[in-house]
Amino acid sequence: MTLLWILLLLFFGGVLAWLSEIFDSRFPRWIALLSVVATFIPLLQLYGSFDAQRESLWIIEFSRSWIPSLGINFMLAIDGLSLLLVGLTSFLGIIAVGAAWVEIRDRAGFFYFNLLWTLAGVVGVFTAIDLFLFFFFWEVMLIPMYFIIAIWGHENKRYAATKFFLYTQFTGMLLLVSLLCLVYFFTIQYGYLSFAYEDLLRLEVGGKLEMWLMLGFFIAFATKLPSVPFHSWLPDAHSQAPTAGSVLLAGVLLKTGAYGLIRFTLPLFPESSAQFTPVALTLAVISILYCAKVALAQSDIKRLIAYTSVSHMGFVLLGIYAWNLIGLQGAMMTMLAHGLSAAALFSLAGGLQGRLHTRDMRRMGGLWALVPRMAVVALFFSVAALGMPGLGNFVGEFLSLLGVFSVSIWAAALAALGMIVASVYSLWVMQAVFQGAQNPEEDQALLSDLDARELALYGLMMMGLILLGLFPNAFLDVSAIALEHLSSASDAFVAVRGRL
Amino acid sequence: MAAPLLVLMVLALAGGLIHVPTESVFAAPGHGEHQVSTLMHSIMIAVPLLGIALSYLFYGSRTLSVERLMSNNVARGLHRFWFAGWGFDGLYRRLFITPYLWLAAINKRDVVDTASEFLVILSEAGNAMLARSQSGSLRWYILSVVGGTVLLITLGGVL
Amino acid sequence: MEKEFAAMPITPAVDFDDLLLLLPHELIGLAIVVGMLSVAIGRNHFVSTVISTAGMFAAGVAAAVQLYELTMGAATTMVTALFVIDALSALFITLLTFSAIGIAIMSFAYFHKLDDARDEFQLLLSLATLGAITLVSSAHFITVVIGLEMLSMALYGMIAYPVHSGAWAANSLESAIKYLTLSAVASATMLFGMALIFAATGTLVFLEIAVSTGPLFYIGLLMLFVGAAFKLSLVPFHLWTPDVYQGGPLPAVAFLATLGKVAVAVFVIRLFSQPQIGEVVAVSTVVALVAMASILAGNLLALRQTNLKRLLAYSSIAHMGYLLIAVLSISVPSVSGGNATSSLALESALFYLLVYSLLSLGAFGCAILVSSSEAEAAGVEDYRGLFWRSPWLASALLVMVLGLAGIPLTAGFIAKFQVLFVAVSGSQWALVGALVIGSAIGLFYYLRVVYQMLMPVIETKEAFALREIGLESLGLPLVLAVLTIVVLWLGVYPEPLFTLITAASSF
Repeated sequence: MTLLWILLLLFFGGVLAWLSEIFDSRFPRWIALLSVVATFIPLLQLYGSFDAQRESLWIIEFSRSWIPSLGINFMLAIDGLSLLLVGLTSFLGIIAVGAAWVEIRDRAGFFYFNLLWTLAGVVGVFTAIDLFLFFFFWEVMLIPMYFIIAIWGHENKRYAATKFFLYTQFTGMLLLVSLLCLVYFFTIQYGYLSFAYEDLLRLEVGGKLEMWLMLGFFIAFATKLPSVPFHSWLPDAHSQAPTAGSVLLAGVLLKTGAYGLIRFTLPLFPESSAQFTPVALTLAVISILYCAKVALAQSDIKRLIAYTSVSHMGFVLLGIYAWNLIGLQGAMMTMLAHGLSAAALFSLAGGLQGRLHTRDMRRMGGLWALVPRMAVVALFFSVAALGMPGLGNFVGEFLSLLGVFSVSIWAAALAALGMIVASVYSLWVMQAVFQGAQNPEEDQALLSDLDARELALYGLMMMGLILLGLFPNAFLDVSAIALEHLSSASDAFVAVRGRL
Repeated sequence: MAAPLLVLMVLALAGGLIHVPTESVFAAPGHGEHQVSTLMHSIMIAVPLLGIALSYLFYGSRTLSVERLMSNNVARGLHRFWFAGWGFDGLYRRLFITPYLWLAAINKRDVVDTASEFLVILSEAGNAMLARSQSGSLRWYILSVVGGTVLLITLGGVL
Repeated sequence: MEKEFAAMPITPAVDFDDLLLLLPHELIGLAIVVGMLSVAIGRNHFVSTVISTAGMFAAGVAAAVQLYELTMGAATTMVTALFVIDALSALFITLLTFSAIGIAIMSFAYFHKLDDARDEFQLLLSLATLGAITLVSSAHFITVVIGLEMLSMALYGMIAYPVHSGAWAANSLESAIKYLTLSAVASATMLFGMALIFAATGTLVFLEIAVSTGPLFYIGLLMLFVGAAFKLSLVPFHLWTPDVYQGGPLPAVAFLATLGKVAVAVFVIRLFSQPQIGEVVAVSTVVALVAMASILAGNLLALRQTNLKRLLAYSSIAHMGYLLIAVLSISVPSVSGGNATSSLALESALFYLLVYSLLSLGAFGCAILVSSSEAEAAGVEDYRGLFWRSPWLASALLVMVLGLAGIPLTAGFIAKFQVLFVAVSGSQWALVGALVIGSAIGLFYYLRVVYQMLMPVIETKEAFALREIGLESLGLPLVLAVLTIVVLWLGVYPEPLFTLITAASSF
């Protein structure tokens, strides 16, 4: 029931926020904030009552009949992994509302409606264990995101929004085709229709066909992650989205791709995933290095951060395809830490754009003297992103590398180079924006530094990153059972990979 | 200013004698393998002392002339080389920085993106081709109906 | 010949029960007669609309009662050899009559300011509806021809209806002539096909065609399919669609796009669910090719279209292609034996058809709300900023467009999902590929419409005048609201309709 409440809270909060605009243009943001904060409370409760010794896999479940004639049920469930990701979603929801607080003045009601619906879709994706329901939420979260980019985006929003939607929808169709095949085989083998995750896990397809089905799932999730070569929607979407949109995209939406790989692709198709491991690891390494390289050449600060996102998500992909507990924990920690650091960096970029009316780094420089607080905050998140020990990103990337080391030394060694190039671009941004000479052509004398609201938001995210970095066990313990279960359940995977 | 420098100087010279308790972390060094000969030890201690002596002769007592030394080409070159940190900055610049910046610059617009543009061009070409069939003239439409009927029946016969 | 006629099971006399079963047809016929008389007495647009609407409403209620009885276990009945009253026909008569009521309400608003004869449009509308319901309840080729011709003849008049003045006047005439000429060619082909089938099988009751093979039968079937494909605007018989859509008045086009296609599609579905016909492999291969070509061509053609009516025309070509995927799978035997797949295909075809007609009607309804016989909002540009000027109308149009694109939360998604499931179950990989690529291309142009609505209003450019919601168009927002709610409801909870369709497909 708790899960349903969270979803309903977001869905109805969105509707209420939209309608409340009629009375006062400030109501929507308060309603949005209240609904998001309200979702955080039951999650904390779940976290507090988390029992690491528990027998059952799911912490709580919820199931109702939905479309019985197609074997579809409304099934939600949460385990340690989903709990952390839903927690991240809820947390970044607060940040996103905060980021939009003053930026969005135009048609605020509809904006917060879309914001909350995106969050609801993401929460649905993280908790659905009926694959039809999963796909339903998977698609549902895209539409409000499309609106956010298309309505409140920047100069090239139409192109970016359409590209985002087409990429994700098209690959979503591939996912759907694979899913339907899977269900069809299940029906033949077991004699009844079912979209339930635990039912489909029992199915063994095998052979060439399994590879095709796996690819359908993989491409859909790798596009959302994103991984090279499916990443090219991301820089456009990010650079055009409003700040809150970027926060959601980078912080939460990308994680749904990783989640899909962990929850569905590898467990459902263990054999072909094992065969696919070398390719996936190669893609991960290419993502890490190639996008770090492309990032350095960007002059648009949001594009740059977008490319670094792809680079960091490469570590997630790496950890996932290591498919051992350490690697998966690393992927999970990277997701959480990158969620926070990327959200913060995009907020900063948005803040800069709001103040300077440009995202072009060539027109910035020497801002440290003008906005010192902003500069310090930016430095913090830059070093977090480059993997400074003591902060969450380091823990995540380190564990990913450790996990993959036992699988492929080469992949681990090459990916480790990513941590060096990460320092290059992170420090390069700091230099280009905050240090050096001020741009004489720009009138920057009247820039305002961070205000209390912004400081509070960044403070929250800093605390999160420090918490992740210094007390990783508080999070690792929660996801351990779920990830252990996932990675140990697929014997077929281990068997096949042993032969490679 | 001088006091801390003096302390550091002494430590730098004699710090090796202080015992650092690292046995618990690193495995104890194997006996005999990593023993450095007494000669090496002596040289290592002598070299800095020699340096101090030389600099005293150059700058303290002025027995040797810096200007005279610098008039020598070899010495000047050596000075420049050492002054530039054994040329490591240049080496790095050439080995890492320039190639990396070049690599970054050649693909600023991300070639992978052209794949999606290719699809756009492809579908627009398809659109342009088909749009020409929408001529609006009735005789062509009738022809298409009749031709389509013949085509379908033929296909039905062939298949 | 006499011998063959004698073999047909014509009931000697039509008794009262038979008449009761044909109540929907009779009620609409009655309304037409009353409508004609009332026009003869005195012209009144409102009165004519009420008469035709009342007739269709009564027919719809009668059919709904029939549907209820049939799902409760009443038997399927043949009324003479010409009509069949089963759950399928009852379901679609209900749908068609209520859709027609929607169009009647729309056209009342649309024609309100027309300074010319307005009553005849309502008459033609009723006549076309009668044709459509005759077609869906036909069991005999004769009834098919009568229904189809009644539908088409009335549609010629509706498309050519003199609403436009000046340069515009030529447009509707041109489209009507095109439709008339081409439709005649198609009908002739169809008739010829029926004759060939009759020659091969010796019966005109297509529900009773016994096992029959041979070239005559094949060719007849293909020619029959050609005729239907023309009406459904499938490639390569699609060229007329955009021109006719563009030129005709909006209510007429709405009728053509929904009832006109649904009725023919139901006939095709009936035909293909005859086991002997569905199993003709050559036919289903040809049909598969037509489906693929329609999906790709329809979507590609719509890609850069800026006229909303033409856009919907191209989109309907693609949608009929999607529908055909389900239709041609109806008789594919499943791997596990039995006919589980085929009933799924049949159900999904029916569901798709229902949803398509709702979406299409809704989209045209939205266009009608901002148009009138004096000026139509035909360009996609005209909808710029609609979301901010008129959020409720724009939300309705948004739901319809997203539904046509097959996005979740709308019934369009469930429909496409089912068709995809059918194609996957039948291992029709080429069709699956066409569907996936087609919907990706489709998204692009649907999104263009959506994006236009979301763009800020340009204050300097004179915005397309929103209709003042006066008395004459009170019903229209209501129709749109109902359609929107139904589309969303079916998108989230389609189970009730599934149950109904399962009952209807066990004819």
